Amino acid sequence: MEINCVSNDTAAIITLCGRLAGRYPSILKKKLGEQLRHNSRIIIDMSQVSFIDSTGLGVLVGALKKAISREGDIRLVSPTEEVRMLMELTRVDRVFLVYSSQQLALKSYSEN
Amino acid sequence: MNSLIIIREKHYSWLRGLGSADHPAMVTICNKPILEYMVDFIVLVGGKKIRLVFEEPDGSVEAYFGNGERWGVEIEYGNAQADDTIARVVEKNSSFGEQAPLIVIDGLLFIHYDKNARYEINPEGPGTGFLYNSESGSISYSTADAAERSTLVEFTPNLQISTPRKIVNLFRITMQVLREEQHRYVIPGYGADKGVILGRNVEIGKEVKIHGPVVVGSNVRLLGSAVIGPNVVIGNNVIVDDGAEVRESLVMADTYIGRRLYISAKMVAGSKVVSVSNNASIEVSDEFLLSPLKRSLPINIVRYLFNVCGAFLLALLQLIPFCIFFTLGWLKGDLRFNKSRFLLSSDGQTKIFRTPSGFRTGAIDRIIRSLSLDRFALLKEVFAGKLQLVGNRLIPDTAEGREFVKDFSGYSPGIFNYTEADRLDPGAAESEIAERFYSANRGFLTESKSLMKALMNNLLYNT
Amino acid sequence: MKIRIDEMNGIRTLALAGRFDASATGGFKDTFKGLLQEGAANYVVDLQKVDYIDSGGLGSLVSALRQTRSIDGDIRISGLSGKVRSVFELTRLHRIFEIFDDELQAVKSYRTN
Repeated sequence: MEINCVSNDTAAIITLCGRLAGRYPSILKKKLGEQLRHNSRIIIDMSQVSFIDSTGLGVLVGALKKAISREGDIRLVSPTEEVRMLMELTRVDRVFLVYSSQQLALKSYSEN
Repeated sequence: MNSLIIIREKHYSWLRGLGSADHPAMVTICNKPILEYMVDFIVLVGGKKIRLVFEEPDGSVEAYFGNGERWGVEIEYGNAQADDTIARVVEKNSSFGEQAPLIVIDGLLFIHYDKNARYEINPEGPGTGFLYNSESGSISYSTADAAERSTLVEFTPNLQISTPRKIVNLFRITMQVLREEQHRYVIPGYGADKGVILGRNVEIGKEVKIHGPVVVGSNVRLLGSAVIGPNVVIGNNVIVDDGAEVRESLVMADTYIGRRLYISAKMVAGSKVVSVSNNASIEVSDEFLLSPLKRSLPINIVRYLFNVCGAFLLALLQLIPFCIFFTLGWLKGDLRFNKSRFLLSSDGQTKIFRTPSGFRTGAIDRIIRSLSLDRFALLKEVFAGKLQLVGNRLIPDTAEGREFVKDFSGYSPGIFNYTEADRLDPGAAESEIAERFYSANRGFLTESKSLMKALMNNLLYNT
Repeated sequence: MKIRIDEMNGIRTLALAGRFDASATGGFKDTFKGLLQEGAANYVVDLQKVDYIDSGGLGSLVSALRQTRSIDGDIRISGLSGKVRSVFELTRLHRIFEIFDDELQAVKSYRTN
């Protein structure tokens, strides 16, 4: 899975591409940890994540807790239907704010 | 009045993907097979004899319906080919159809009847006609054994007929029955209160909340503070773990629903979840979240003992000759082994076995084969439970092999096989017939006989 | 096993009675060979009075079918019920034989083909 980071003043945008499973959740956990040290406002673009398992979800939730403790947040963009279904099954969809585009997610941060 | 119910593959094949062990005609609505609703309906309109006509029969339907005693009707079974017209099927079942009138149901149909209503069939004069006719199936009626079916015949009062072609159709029909039509059918289970029906052997935790209407199957465990309903059907052999919430959903048989899972407007079967609103589906890979529950198969002790004792005896008898002749063969440089992967069962398990091959025909080779010493190395697999002493022919793990074994539900390979016991050509139809026949008629005497025959054949035809 | 040979509407019919096991296959094969030599390609085999059939019996039916198919003919089965029907389905023979309740219907079916 590929992880791309783009930072700007409002928030850091992390784009994921591929399957968030196997060894990738722990790689993502490290990257998110690093990112949170600079910027506690993060946007994760999930539109190209084809599959996620419970470990992957766990990493996202763990990072969310860290971000909130630093008065930040992790907001998600366009999870696929499959990912969204797993999030709904595990009730994880209730703790994340989800937007249909990166711009809208950025806007939501700047409006705050 | 009699009835033929024709069960054609083209109407049912889409259900085979659901991975149920039973015949697709046994698919259930509120835990009752659609076929049983059809039988109930025929009994309701006065049917005395029903014949279930299959293109692809399997034991599960006959095991369920038996001779129809339970439903107060005589049930028989018959066969049809894929391209048989209804007229042809009636011809094939002529001894049945001659006792007019005859209702023929062809297709996977859910008939929304009311058990408290009285239905009359009003044909336009004598002859035959369709009560229902569509691409997905038909219901036709004849007062004589005429083959022509063209006039329209009416049911009074009118009946709604649903023809499920996709999984979501099954969901919709289930919800309709659950919410609005429960009183119209006999739904299996015991009525608790407020539209809750429970099957046999249902365990409900003290803090479990159930909001009707809900239908629960048999051998179900609802644990901790799980919440079920409203508008939920749970199949047989399901566990819903602590804190899980299931609403507006259908949970198929043999499923484990993990802790704190939230299931709303979904169809769940094993580890597969289908969203009813948009047809999206996912396979959940984390077993603690959602997984299939295997029905444990009883292990046949007698068979295992026969296998183990026989293998042990054979091993004792063959040990010394094996050591002598294999050493000789190895010294001469004659031994060659193939390692191939073979199928172990109809659910796809495989194992690699070494089989001796490529022997240059020589005296040593002939002696080894005539004493069946080439099977010596496989005897240990009997103790491991991977192979029978006598069983089906080993099939290699190829696409063709997998297809064949998938279609053969009792497949159980052995060190010695029925094909060689009867000296049949492994590729011919006679071999398949023998393999299927002996598989289904296993017994101590027949197995021993086959083993002796195989050993004798090796002795006689290799020296 | 007894074999009664008859003819209806120009189609040869064989009504079998008794046990169709390994000991009966020889007799069946010989009888059928004789019938084939007379030139007919289409047959009806009635199993109403057969109380037991094993893989040997089934095998010889299949072998006979092969021979008729090779001369563009067929063998249709009638009178299948109970255990014999189960064995047919188990060995998948319901896929290759047309099965009728009644000998006469089976004979008539050749006309409509």
